[in-house]
Amino acid sequence: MKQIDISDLKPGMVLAKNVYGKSENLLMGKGVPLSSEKIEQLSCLGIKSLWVEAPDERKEPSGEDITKITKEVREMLDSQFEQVSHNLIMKELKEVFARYLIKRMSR
Amino acid sequence: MNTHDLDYRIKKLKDLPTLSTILTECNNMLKNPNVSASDLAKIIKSDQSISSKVLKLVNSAFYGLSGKVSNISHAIVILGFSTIRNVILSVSVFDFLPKDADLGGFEISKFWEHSTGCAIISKVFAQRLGMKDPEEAFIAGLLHDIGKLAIAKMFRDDFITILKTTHKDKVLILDAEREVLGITHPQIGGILSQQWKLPTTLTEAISFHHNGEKKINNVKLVSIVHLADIITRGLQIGSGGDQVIPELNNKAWDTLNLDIDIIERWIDDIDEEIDKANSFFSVLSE
Repeated sequence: MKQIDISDLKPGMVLAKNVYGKSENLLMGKGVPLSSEKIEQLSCLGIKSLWVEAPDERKEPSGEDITKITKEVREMLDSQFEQVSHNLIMKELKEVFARYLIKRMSR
Repeated sequence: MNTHDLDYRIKKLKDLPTLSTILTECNNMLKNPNVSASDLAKIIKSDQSISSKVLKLVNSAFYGLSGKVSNISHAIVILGFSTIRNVILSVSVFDFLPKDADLGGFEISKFWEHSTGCAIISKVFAQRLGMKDPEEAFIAGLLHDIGKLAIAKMFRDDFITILKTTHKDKVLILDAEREVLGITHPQIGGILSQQWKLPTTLTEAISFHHNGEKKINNVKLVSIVHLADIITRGLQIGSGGDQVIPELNNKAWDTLNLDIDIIERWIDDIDEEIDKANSFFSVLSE
């Protein structure tokens, strides 16, 4: 992982740390691959430099990581959906959200 | 909660701050078919704070015009009257409550993140369902919970009790509001929307986003916002202050005539849009 100037960013580089805005809101999460559009976006938001992964550093999440993420996502959704579990469409939606969140968090 | 208290609270809502007068003037102007971009620009420019935020917003990645728009007239020509009106509306409501207000753990930035997420999802769904005004769906999504901010602003102590009840009993804010206040955020949001003279379709979307009603004009818009609210919560985008999810309304589901596979595909498609929403939201919460 290395810190580089926004002007040296190239599409395809991958964020190594979360990028936060002035009010501490998350602008882009770590693991996001940068497109030229995203780089322009960051530049417009006044970001001067950020951390990217060195090309050989980017690891696929391990099986262990995915098990952990899956468990976290399941627990979160189980609690959120506890009172609507009798509704079949809500049950299916919950599965859609689980797949999306696991995929997003594994990136 | 007795009737006297409830009457008092509803009366107190009349003291809610009005939205910017610029917005009223814009709304009036847009009713006139002969209005020009420069007429509208003159009105917007009369408010320094609004016009600088409008420029920042149209130049943000959200509208994809990064850094290219240097003045209000230019922005109106490129984005069109109704988008500009929505930009002004967004800028005005974001100033409704200071972002550092102490509200017993309620995070205003998380609230706006939820609202912006709901706005984007409503807009994309409206587009894909062939609705004629997806921008309206965006604003409906953005404002659907505005009643919560009104409660926080006017009845701060009650609002904190509502939040505590929500967490303790694991119920929706809506149910806690009914118990503590006797009136809910969709009802209060509807009153506010009428006071602000927003279009009837928006008032309906705000008033009925938790439940369908028989006598409404735009059932599709209300149903979209209802589903988008559920999706935004399920995708864990921001927080509206409660940790449980409302049950999907059967009538809304039938109105939209969607199936789960389509929803899953559309959610995958909006990943990029949601990232863009962060730029919208960060300009406005500065």
